[in-house]
Amino acid sequence: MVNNEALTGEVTTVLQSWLNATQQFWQTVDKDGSLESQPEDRQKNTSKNPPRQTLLSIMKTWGAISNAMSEPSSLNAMVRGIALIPDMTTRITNTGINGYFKLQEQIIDKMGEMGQKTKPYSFENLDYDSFKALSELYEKEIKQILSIPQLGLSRFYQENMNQAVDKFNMLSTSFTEFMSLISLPMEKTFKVLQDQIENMTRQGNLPNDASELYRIWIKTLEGHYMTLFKSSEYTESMGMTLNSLEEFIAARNIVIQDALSSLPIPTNKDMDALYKELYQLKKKIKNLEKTRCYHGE
Amino acid sequence: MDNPKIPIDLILKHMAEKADKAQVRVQKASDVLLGPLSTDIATTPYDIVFQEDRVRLKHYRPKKRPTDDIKTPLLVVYALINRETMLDLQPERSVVKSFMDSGIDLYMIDWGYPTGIDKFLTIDDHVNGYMDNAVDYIRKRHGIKKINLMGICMGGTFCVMYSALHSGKVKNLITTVCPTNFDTDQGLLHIWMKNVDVDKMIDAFGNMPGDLMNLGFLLLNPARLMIDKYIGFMENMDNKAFVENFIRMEKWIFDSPDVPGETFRQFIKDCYRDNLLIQSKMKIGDKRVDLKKITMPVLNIYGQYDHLVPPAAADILTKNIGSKDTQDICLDTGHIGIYVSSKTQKEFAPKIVQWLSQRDKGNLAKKKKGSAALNTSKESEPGIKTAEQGAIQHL
Repeated sequence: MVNNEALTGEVTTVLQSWLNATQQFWQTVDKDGSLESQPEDRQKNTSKNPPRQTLLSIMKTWGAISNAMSEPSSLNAMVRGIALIPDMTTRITNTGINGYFKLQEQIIDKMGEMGQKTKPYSFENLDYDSFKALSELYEKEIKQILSIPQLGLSRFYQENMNQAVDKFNMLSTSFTEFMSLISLPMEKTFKVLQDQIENMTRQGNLPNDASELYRIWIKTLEGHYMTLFKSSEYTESMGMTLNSLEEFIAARNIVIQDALSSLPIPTNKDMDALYKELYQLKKKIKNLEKTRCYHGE
Repeated sequence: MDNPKIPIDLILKHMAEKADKAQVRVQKASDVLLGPLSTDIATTPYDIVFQEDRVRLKHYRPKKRPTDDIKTPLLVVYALINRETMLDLQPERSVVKSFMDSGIDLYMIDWGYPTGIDKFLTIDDHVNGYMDNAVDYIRKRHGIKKINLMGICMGGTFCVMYSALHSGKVKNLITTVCPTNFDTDQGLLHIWMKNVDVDKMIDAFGNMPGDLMNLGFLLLNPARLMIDKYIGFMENMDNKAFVENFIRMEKWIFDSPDVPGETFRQFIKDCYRDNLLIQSKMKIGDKRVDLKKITMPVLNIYGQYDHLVPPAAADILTKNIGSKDTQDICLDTGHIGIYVSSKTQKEFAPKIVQWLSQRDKGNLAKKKKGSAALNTSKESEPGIKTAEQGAIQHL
């Protein structure tokens, strides 16, 4: 506590000196007009030369700000603000870290359950918690940042870019889930093979030839894949992955289009319009030709 | 003395033997892979006799004059997915060669490689445009009213549509592994396609990318198509003939043109989702495809183990058309095995030739008087297992 007060006192002194120096600097600049070539030109030039006028106005503003900031009340507010930075940072990072730890926890739990839950030829009640946690973490913590409304002249371009980044992240999430599903039959098949080897060993009929074990493995794997592919979880995940891929491609195309529109290169949109026009023209000509043929011309 | 539960000695002996064999195999394989390999596909000579945009009409140079049995030229229409070169992978396993040897005057449509300019082409443009123009060209060239038409997979579906809309131009129709009934859960493709947002897909990609479709086909059976197939290759890579066949098949499988966007969109919506074709409710352009207008003789061949077009997707066509001369043949094989397995070569093409010759010569009428065997008979050809070399066995 004592240390904090001492620290705050030190910070205040340093700030006070810096602000005083800044104030003096801006006042000097303002008084001697050092940026102007000749004193007599000052009045003429400032009115004729807009950039110089702007510069002087900025300097005055800075001088005023320095002046206001060096007052004890402002100084205290600033020091209090600085003191709040660690707290603010902690709060912001806390949210993200909590979500991350939650996900970690789920992954660790899932890893602990590996081999226990897997039943051969069954893909029902799959554990989606870890994927859900990942999607939730993204949707709650990151997606919102990308959805902040953009301002200014470049707002449309920035929004398009953010959309592309968002769609890419969504694709990564659904692709990870899809790949996890696709690898599940492998996990199950190894487990089944392990059990079969155990049984064969117990019964004393373990094959001498490794290719026999391969045949069992590939047949079981094929069966597992067939079961998985018919499950609604797989169909949904495949649909979602394709969906995300298509959305990402569409968003990416818009960004590329934005970039190309400033260059002397036709965009996809331009080409599509041209293709459509050509298609319609060709169709018209072909129909006319056919009609002429029928009339024996 | 009891037998050991784990015969370690035998296992180690086997491993040693295998290691020796593997070493010899790898040495031989390097000679095979580094040496000259004959992996060309579609080598039967042909001429391009007609072309419209990207679509070309191939005419195979006849080795002999058309036989008296089959004088009418045959036009083969392949799917928009993959390429027609599959019918002529190698001389010993070539449907094209079998047809030529039987004296059939053979034409085939090569759909080419669609690009951005083709994205707005619809099924109407393919069926009533390109196909109809190719048929008209052949009719004019030979001075005939009708031609024989054979369709493969999606090309078969196009042929069904064409025959319903232009029945006056088709003498005999042959459909092979041709999906017409899409309301089935027998094939994974039928289940998956119902969950695909085709509008979003086409809006994003423009044309349906061939590589993406190929990935989907591989995912239909990853254990066999992505693992076991290549294990089989490793085990046989010292066998030159095997390697050559395998590479030919790989060349064909991964030669996947994109599908024009609007065509794909309509095919998925009207066929896979709403199953309009088999109900005679599908519209192409402004015309309804009424299957009852298919009155010419129809031969419908499909595979018992076809995972892309399962029997349920193919076997009800003949019950829904207007023709009274129909025949269904279910072969004991898969989607591609039907054309490329060496055993099917002895069954598939000869069957078509026989069926066509009975009808083309005009001697069917005489036969029909004494026999009803050709009317809507459903045969199952036994014994054509897909135990073909690695590359084709699971297709």
